[in-house]
Amino acid sequence: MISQVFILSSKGDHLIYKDFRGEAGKDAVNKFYEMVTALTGGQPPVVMKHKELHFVHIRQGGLYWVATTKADASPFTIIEFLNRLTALVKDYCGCLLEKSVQMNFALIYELLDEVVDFGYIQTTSTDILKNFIQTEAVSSKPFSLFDLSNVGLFGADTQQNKVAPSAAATRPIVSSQGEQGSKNEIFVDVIERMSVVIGANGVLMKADIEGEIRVKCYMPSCSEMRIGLNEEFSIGKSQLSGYGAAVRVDECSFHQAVRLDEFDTYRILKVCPSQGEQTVMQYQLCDDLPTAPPFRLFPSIERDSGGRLLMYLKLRCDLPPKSAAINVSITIPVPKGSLRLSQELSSPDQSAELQPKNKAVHWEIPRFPGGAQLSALFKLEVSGLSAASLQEVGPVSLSFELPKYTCTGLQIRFLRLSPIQPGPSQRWVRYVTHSDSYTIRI
Amino acid sequence: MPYLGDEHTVRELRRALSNPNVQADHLRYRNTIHRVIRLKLCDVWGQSEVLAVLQRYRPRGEDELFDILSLLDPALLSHHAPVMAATLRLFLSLCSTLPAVCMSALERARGPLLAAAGSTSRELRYAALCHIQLLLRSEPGLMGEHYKRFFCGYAEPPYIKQNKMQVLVELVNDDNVAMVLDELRGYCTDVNTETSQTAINAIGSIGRSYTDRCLAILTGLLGLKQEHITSAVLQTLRDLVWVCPQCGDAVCSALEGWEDNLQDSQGRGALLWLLGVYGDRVTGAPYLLEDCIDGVRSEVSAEVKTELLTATLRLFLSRPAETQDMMGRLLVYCIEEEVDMCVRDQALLYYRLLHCGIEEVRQVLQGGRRSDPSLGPLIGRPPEPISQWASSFNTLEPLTLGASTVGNSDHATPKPSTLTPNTLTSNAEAMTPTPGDPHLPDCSSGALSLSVSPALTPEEFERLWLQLEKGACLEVCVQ
Repeated sequence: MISQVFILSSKGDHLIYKDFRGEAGKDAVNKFYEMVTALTGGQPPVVMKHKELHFVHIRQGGLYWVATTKADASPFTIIEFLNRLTALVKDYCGCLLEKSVQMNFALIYELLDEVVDFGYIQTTSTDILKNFIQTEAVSSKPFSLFDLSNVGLFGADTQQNKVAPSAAATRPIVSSQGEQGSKNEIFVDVIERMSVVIGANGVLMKADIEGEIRVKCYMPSCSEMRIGLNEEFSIGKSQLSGYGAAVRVDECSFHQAVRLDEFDTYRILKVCPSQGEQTVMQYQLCDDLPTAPPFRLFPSIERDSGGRLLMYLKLRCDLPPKSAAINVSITIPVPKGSLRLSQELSSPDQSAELQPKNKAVHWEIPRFPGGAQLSALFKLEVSGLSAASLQEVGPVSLSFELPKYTCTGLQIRFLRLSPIQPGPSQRWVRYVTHSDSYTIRI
Repeated sequence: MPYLGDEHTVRELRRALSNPNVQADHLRYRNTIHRVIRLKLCDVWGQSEVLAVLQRYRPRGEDELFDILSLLDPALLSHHAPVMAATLRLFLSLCSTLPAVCMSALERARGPLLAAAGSTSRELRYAALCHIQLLLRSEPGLMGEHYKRFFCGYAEPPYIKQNKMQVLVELVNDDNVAMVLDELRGYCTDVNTETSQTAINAIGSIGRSYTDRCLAILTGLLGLKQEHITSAVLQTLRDLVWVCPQCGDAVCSALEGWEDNLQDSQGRGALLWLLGVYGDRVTGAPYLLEDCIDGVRSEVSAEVKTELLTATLRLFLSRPAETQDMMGRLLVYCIEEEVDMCVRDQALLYYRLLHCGIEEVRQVLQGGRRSDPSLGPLIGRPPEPISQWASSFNTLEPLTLGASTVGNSDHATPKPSTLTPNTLTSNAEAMTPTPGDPHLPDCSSGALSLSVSPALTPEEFERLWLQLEKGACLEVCVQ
């Protein structure tokens, strides 16, 4: 039972405030901001308590989305509700920024009115809501291609949120429900997140993949869609591994609305997509990747006679030659006493800099073709360099995006809509893998 | 409520459960249960509501109980976290008398919980982690083979990393200890100081069972010569030595040739304690203590001063020739010039103890060490019964509780400071009696006798205080 919902900017400006049950006063908002800014780094901010009121909040888009409750409610429900609320606002307003929330406050109040009644959550499904929401969304500025760097790939939360969309999606992504009258589009994205730890001897210690198939539907009327996956798709660990191109996942779960009657035999998912974004299928694969991890590092770190730390890094990309990785960013923690960096990189589009705040060297590679090997030589001046400083050169973390590539090999064979849509309809299928946490120990 | 799947369902359920007449009518009860079958037609929020309402229903017999359980079984594996959590809570409360069913429910819910612990939303991950910690209290082996899922991601916020490290500590066993320690070693050099301190403490906790490996890692970390790491390592070593005295040798060799100047008072306190206990084996101990004693005037922290007093006295017992002079200076300073009353009284106590004779001092300072059962080895702790935490599952309690213990996890191990019973019990500020301490060494031979009850009642003390003149009062009171 939710008592109040409010949205604050990161500086504490009140953007939205709605009280459902009249149990708590408006001073709760300021109290929350005080408490959350007073927390130290290690204390978990998700649930806080003040007298009888519990504050549960999430941070998205640089804003605080807070729900308060007096009863001892289920944390999963409230957190899931807040996540769904942000997804709804993003669906309607196009992007999740302070500006768009400010401009669309009427729409958001109407949404909150319909979604929650006296503190009980009614529905968060766009299908049902669209019958009741009258207000039109206002987008913050007309779309321009120069703005692509600010737009995340269909809500996929990358680490930097600055991902250039892959080549297939050069269409405007910022959208509002009202404008879509003429465009009949449906986007099916296969998004995988990869989490890898490679030990100091080059041995793969951990490799996990979490993947999703997301459908974003702009068609006003779509009764059924059939998505066909690889025929050799198999679920669960089995002793018999297929020949060659078998696609396997450990666990797989489907959205409630997906019908699985043809899944066992033909690997076809049947779903009636509602307008907006939904996740049709989620799957996980642990520890048994069909392909090698995409990056391998061969480091060599030593001290030279002049008291400087020399790091020679050779990074090899093990993707198939046709693919490439984009926005590869490598972070190497360096000793605390590092003062200056001088580098030798193999091509002019790469860049590297020493970040004094987190004592790390950031090496950026905009595009890394498969099968290639790039090397860099970094010379660091470290005050008080000793043998122990070499130990401070910590585990190397990578973040990257692999467009048009899925690690598990999951492919969408076909996408059929029935009934056949009148007029031109566009169907887009996109694959992307990005790194959740890719660590290579030295 | 027009959207809640079926408004009649929820209304009927609510009415049925509170109406005593209905409880007599067997048929209507069956009706109510059948409505639960239509659970699948509700959306996520409707399902959570229905499951929450069902918490209040007590099934009339075992048949009905198992009917409900089998109807709700698919909801346990739902990949919507709210539904799964509500179902599990219901199962645990319905089957509180059937432990086997509870265990199998926990095992079935493990998959969805792990999936939630890996979700993109950080807050959901945190909620799932707190609940996994609850589960592990009863079934430590539940997540054994999935320990790799609890390795921290590079960009995770510190509070999630610390939770994951706590879980990792509990999942350690012979097979995976090497991997886990490797991973924790990597976190020790994390940019965030609190995370690295938690990692070092985690290694210390594992060290209670796998002492050699952890000691090697900890002493290696000292070589990095970074302030916060060194301070955390010293505190961890002190706690470890308390439980595993056999680590003494490794600690001594680490302390040989110690040159660092620590700024952090807790680290300094730990260093002084270690020097006091192992002073006889570390060659440079008197010199290190001398440096501290010379700088005692500029020392701010009262705890460090009390540790210094105890350490010097201990060292005096084993190396009197070297320490006598500096101990004298220290006592003079503390009694004459020190402002903090606790420190002054401590020094006064030691002074009078020394007057009683060296044997008394030895007895008080080195008399029987009692180890604290809560600091016992990690593996082999008895699992708690599920009923202890089942009622707080799927509520906000584990998340707010997590907030208070994460910050205090390092301090939860009681610091063996000078005021614990083993070293200095008498608390000769005899106004505060040590409650019922049977192990106090009772020196009936000397002039000093240590008793449990207070020397003075509060009223007597007040009377005495008002009567006496300023200079003489303390002499009388300490008697």
